[in-house]
Amino acid sequence: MKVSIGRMIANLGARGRALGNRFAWWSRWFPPAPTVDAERFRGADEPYPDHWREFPRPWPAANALEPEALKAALAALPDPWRRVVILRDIDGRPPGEVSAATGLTAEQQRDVLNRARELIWEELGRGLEPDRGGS
Amino acid sequence: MITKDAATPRTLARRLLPLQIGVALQGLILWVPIEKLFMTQIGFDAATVGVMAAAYAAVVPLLEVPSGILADRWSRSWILILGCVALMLSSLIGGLSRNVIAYVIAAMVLGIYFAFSSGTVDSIVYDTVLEETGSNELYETWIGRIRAVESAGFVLSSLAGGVLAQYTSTRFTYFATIPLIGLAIIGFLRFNEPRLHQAAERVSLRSHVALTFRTMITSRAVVGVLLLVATAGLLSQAVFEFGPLWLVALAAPAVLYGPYWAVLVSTLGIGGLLAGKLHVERRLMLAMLIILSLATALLLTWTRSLAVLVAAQVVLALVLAIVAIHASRLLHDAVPSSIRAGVSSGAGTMTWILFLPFSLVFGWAARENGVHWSGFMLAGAVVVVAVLLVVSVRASRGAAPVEVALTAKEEAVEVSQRAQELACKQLVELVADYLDDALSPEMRAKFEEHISGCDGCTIYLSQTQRIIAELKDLSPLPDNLEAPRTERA
Repeated sequence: MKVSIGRMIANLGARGRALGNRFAWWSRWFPPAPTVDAERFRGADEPYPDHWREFPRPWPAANALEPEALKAALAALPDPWRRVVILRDIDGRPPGEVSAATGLTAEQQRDVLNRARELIWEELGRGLEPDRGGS
Repeated sequence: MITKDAATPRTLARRLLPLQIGVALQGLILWVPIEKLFMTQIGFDAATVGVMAAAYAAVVPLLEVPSGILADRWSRSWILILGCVALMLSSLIGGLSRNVIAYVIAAMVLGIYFAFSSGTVDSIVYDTVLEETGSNELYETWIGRIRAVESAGFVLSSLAGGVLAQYTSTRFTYFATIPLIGLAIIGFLRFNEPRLHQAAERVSLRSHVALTFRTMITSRAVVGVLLLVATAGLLSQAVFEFGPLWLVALAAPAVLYGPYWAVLVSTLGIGGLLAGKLHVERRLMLAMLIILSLATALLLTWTRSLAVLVAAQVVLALVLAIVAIHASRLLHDAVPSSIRAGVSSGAGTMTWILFLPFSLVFGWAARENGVHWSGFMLAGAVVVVAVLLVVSVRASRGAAPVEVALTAKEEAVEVSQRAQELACKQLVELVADYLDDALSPEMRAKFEEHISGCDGCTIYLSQTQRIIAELKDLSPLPDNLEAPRTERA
């Protein structure tokens, strides 16, 4: 019930912008933010929509990931994300404990982890292939 | 379908508090309720009010794109602060002005404030929620709270402004606004803004506009709804902009403007609540709304009673709020989520563009024949809205309603269910859930089926697993990488 009232007010807020009155807002809707950059996937009007435009490049075999590069990628994360990654992936704490420490539900932790890991993945991928990183 | 009661983490509420305070203070624009009264005092007539409205209607769309780019490239908090500075400057120029030209300049500076503040708070809230929770699910809840705080500021300032004008002067309300906006700046300065541009890349406004035009050309259903949204917006804006002129014509006392404006502004909120309850798509309700709006618009053309006049304007504003909300729902139903932003921007731009000539003609007609006569222009616009509404509602009957905003994960699940298969773009949203064993058996089967046949996703999944494995090896971490402000639970 609380959520639905919140949504209703929010919809009013967002849609109220279309009212265009002097104190209403400029209309800008936000499509859901994709985890991986949408540019990496084929568009709706291309063959195989939503499939990789270009497969991710394979990484060199084991132990080629530099801990320094990984730390740099970790440092580049937004603070709340880095915190969750440290607790869950590095310290290996279970979701329940992380919930107590951060206030994030297990579901929210997974959402954060998915995005954070993807950012690290992009960052490492750039480091491994310097010629592709420029664009 | 993933359903859950999303909880707000403590840090999110704490982080958004300064923003809420800033937004509330920014809403305390004391001169808004008595603006039209003040304008007539310094020599405006209906026609020049129209010119003034057209002047800022022209500024806003011009500055919208540059301010949006600036906000994304530089800092959104600072764009809000610049908007506040423009608002303070506009209040100062407005308060000092003794003739039409000076006040039109103030109105154009106000246009800068509109352009800078519009959409900026939304994107800040969106990115903050994403940074704190990893998902946009709580966005609607929080933008709703912030809009509620903002509306409370508007209502409060409406009441306070009218009283202040009665006991001091209309001019004083302009100067009294300046320190309040200054306090809002302090709130925005204390806000820790999200810096997530690389992860939460929004579609650029230019591509929104390009997509909008493509949609407008290819889809006739969208064109009709778009016109409906724009004309309903135009009409609503006209009521807010020119409504006070009726009060001026009847020589209403200054103290009445505050409550009048407060009630008028509150129709936006009440209309929003009602729109969720009423079934606008039903014939009877549709007919009632149309008759009500037409009757109130016509009432405005001949009544000389202040009470009837205010009641008519409030009812008209309320009906328009309901219609506008239903219209934008139709619009969102008619376009896929990927171009929703672009199409909505197009509707907003169209409203401003339509409003520009409308306000000029309205002002001119009001001066030549009295503001009551130009009420016929409102009635004419009501007829246009009614026709478009009937056409759009009829076209939409039978179409399945669409959830307004989905999280990326919810959308991925829904898309894959509709398409009967999981595509790569949707799979990447579900990797963390897969690794945590949180997928439904059905989704898990789809996930594994896709992975077994797709080299790209196999690489992505194995690289993600490798990242997780190597992260584990980093433990224990050096201090400089520890999360800041570790709290005790």
